[in-house]
Amino acid sequence: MWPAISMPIIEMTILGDTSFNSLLNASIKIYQAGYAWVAFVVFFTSILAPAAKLLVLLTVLLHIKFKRHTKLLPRLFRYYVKLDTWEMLDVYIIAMLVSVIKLFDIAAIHGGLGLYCFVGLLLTSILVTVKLDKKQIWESIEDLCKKNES
Amino acid sequence: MQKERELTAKKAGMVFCQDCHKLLRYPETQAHDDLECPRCGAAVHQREPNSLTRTWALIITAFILLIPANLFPIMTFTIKGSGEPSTILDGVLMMVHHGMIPIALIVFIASICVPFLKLAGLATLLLSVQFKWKTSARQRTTMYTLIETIGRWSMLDVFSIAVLGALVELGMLANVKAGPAGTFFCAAVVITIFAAKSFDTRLIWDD
Repeated sequence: MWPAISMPIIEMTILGDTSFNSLLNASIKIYQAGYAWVAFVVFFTSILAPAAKLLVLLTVLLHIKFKRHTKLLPRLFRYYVKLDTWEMLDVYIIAMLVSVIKLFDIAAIHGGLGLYCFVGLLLTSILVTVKLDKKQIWESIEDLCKKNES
Repeated sequence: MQKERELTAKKAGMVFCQDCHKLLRYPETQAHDDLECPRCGAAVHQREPNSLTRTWALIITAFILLIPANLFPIMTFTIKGSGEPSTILDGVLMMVHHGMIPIALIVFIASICVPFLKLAGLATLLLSVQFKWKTSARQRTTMYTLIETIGRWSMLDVFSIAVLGALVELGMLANVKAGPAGTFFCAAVVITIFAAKSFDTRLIWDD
């Protein structure tokens, strides 16, 4: 559960290449091509949702650790649970693999620095999902709320 | 003869919060409409109201959207100045021609099979609940879990277009442009995910 706290350090993820591609770049390009809706979905699932998830979880965990209470705490953790479906980094990396294989004949392709960060981000966020005990968090939140009332 | 149904939370006069999984006593006299979970503040219903209707509506919408998604070109791949718009199926066929069978299979499963199978699966679940088919509840639960976990992977093609579009931008030499099917496909996938979410799995357990 605690490794979650060290995670947001690697939020900025860039996949460099000769004609430069990054997570952010991908959604900007598709926006410029005139598909705003697709761009939004790509942006949301590959950047916003993973980042928001980590931030929300960090906030909740810090509150529990320092026994601070806000009224928003249960709501925040509910958002975390809801964001779970919309975080699609794992799908994204397979899509990247598919694209790279498609391009293999016509171009030399090498991963940039961002690729390592991306893989790191992916692995750690999977670990967080596996390690996180939601029931325990809900119980801690409930305790905090009760203490606050009495 | 079918075995007697097990005890459900509903029969025991309990209710289960879908958000934080807290088990609550279901008040019998109070008005039920604005029941809130004391732990997480989510609205609690013994069975989600209008779950079936809403899910049907979303399934039909997604199905309609899938038609243009498969007929319109999803991207235009231009190499050395020449290139044609291709649909999802064209892309898969092209990869088969180039001998990239495993990748072609992944794309085929993720972007053609899964969206249709998901909708068909959800529709079957809804029918089985509506007409009280005597299939095993366990089978239906497995089916739902499968639909829910597999759904996100349909986004593969959307991401793939985004990555290719950003990566392959070398003017006349090689260029990838997204096509109109992208929007339809993306919408279909998102709506299918919403459809899966709006289905109240607890309905499976009612006779």
